[in-house]
Amino acid sequence: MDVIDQIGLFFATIGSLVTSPTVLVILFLSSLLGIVFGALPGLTATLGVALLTTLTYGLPLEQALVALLALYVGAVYGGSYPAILVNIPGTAASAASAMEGYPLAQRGEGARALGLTTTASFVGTIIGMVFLVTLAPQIVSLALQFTSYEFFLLAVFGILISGTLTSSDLVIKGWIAGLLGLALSTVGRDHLQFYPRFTFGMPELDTGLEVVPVLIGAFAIPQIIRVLRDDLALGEPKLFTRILPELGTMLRNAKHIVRSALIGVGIGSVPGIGEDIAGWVSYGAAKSTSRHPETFGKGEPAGLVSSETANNACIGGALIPLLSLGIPGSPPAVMLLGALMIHGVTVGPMIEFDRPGFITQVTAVLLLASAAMWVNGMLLARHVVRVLKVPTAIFMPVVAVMSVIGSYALGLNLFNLYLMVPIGIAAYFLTEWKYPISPLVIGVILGPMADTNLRRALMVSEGDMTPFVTRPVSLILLVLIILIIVSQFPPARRARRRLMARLTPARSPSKPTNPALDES
Amino acid sequence: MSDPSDTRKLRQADLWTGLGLVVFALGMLGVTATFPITDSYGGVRNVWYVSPALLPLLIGVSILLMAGMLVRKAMRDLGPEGVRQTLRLPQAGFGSRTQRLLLILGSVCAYVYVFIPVVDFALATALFLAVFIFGFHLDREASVARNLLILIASTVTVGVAASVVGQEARDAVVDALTGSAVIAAAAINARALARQQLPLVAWRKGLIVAVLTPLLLCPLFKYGLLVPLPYEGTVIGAMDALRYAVFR
Repeated sequence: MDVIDQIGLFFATIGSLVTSPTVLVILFLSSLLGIVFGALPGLTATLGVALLTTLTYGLPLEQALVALLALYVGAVYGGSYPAILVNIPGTAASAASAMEGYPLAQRGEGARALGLTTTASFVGTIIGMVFLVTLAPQIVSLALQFTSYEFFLLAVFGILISGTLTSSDLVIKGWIAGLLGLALSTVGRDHLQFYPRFTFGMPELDTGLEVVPVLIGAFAIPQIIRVLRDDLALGEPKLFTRILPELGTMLRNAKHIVRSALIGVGIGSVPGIGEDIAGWVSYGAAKSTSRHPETFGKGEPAGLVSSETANNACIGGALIPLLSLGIPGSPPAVMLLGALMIHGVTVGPMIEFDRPGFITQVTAVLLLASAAMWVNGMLLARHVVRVLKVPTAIFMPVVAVMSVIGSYALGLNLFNLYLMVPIGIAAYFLTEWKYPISPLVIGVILGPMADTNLRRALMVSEGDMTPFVTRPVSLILLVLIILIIVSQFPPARRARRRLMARLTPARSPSKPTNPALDES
Repeated sequence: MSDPSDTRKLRQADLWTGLGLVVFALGMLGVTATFPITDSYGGVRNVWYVSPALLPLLIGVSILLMAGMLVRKAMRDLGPEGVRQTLRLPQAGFGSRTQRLLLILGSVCAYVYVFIPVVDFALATALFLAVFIFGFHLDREASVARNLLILIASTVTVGVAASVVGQEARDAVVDALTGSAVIAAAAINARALARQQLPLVAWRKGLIVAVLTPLLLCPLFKYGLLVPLPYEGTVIGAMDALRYAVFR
């Protein structure tokens, strides 16, 4: 499909979507629901996508995509409401926004801060979308050259990099989480010989673990337990009159916006790490490059704009590896992958053959989702803020019920529920002991890809390992994997620190302390 | 994690999880050893690189190695005395945090494993929500313990009734017991608040959410998304009857 065709398809998709009243209702409602989800501390974009997946499985693919992406974009943006108004980030993605947004609100400029975050989030999503439509097809064409050797190593690389970057304690814990995910993925009959592995005579396990109940268990249950156990209570938000787009301030911060968008896309495209890290890195970059770093932490619009642009640009970035390689770039993208699987869409290098124009369609939906988020944000922010008054002890149990019925409804299978609960409880204890959950779920998702491709590759070479080092892309991936592992050993870490000390100038940027939540 | 006491607690947890992971990895390798590696399965002779044991073996060995490294790191950071202290069985506390955790885990487990398979979904959900919301939304510390007791009592009663009562009367009995448990939970919590002369606003809100949520969710899933609910008893039967009467 050439560029002209793609542009034509892009506008045709937008035209067909905006002329359908049903789609418009779904778009605006899902976006609003996403903002509410993001605004309520404890509810996350990942959880929102997980719960909405259940409600969209009866819809046509196009409408389901509209609902899920609108919710995703809305939720990442919605986290800024409590961050600005009560200094509690609704999602981890907005933790950096609280640093500047709350001081602004305390000065009576809460409406201005929300205007800035709304427009910055819109711009960030659009820039992410541009990168998605530009880069994803290129990566797809590159990935078409991949064979089983590369796919096996890609899966290993995805799990390893996600484990390395998401671990807040020891890196080895991230790797162990990834390996536990891989171990879970081996349950059921294997794809080549249909041999029952770890089924313990239970026929329900023959088909393996269903991805969506595992994801809901791993993300929803720990979140519900944490919020209720810690008795999270919100302050009273200050109400305000109306918000404006703040275009003047946005233009004055254009360089921060562009840099933050690039950071957001870059971080989003790395498997498993998401909007929270993008927000913090971008905030840190804005502070370290500012001529007045002393104004940060006191209501500096540049910091707010940087964090919000980056976390929304991350969405487009996270969709790049998801659509082109089948490797989700962020926790909500993991959930989105589960939703796409339910709708019969197999993302990855074959996507443009299986569903020509799918990436362009997703891009068009992302544009509409960001427009709906901006309109909702501008018009309804005043009213959405009222949801902050709902106590967590009321809405978290309802979320628990939605998670239960959601897990059941996808396969009409009680066994999914029986599975979801222990996985959720295990995930809760793992997060308590600082094991990241993203590598675990990425392991569950990429496990079958790793298993089948490893054995297929060795079958082709009759057990010979040399193609792993003689094929260029395979060699690059292998070197990257080895570098990631070796870089964690003490001598390598000491060497890196010495190198960084030599390269870093005397005035090093101060690193923001991170009060972020655990999952975005 | 900069606080040394937090780091120490983490390393203590690492020692236990590391040992647990060693056991898990050994178990995984033990089961994997029963998979066909070079022998035949389904009439097909295997070679090692096509064996279904290949990836599980790699995973098991990797977990074993990493768990070993985790244990080593924890032992080094804790020192011999710290390791001895850690390996003494932890004293099980029953403080408010543990009670909250028990109420959350207990109600989720009771809901999924006891109520959902045998009780009308709307009633099971109403009881789950009532216990959960009253437990965390009312007078906090006391309400958690009180609702934990309500949960245990209702779970045991319904569980025993479901296994003792004959099939023909079981639905009616367990539904009636669950409905009574919802009413009892509401009454006990209202009485407790009244005794402490606390306002009933939070109780009223909790009860409304506990009752309305299943009444909205069940029709949405059953008639909107055409998802049959896990167990359809008295209340969902009444919804069906009402629907057929109205939309016949």
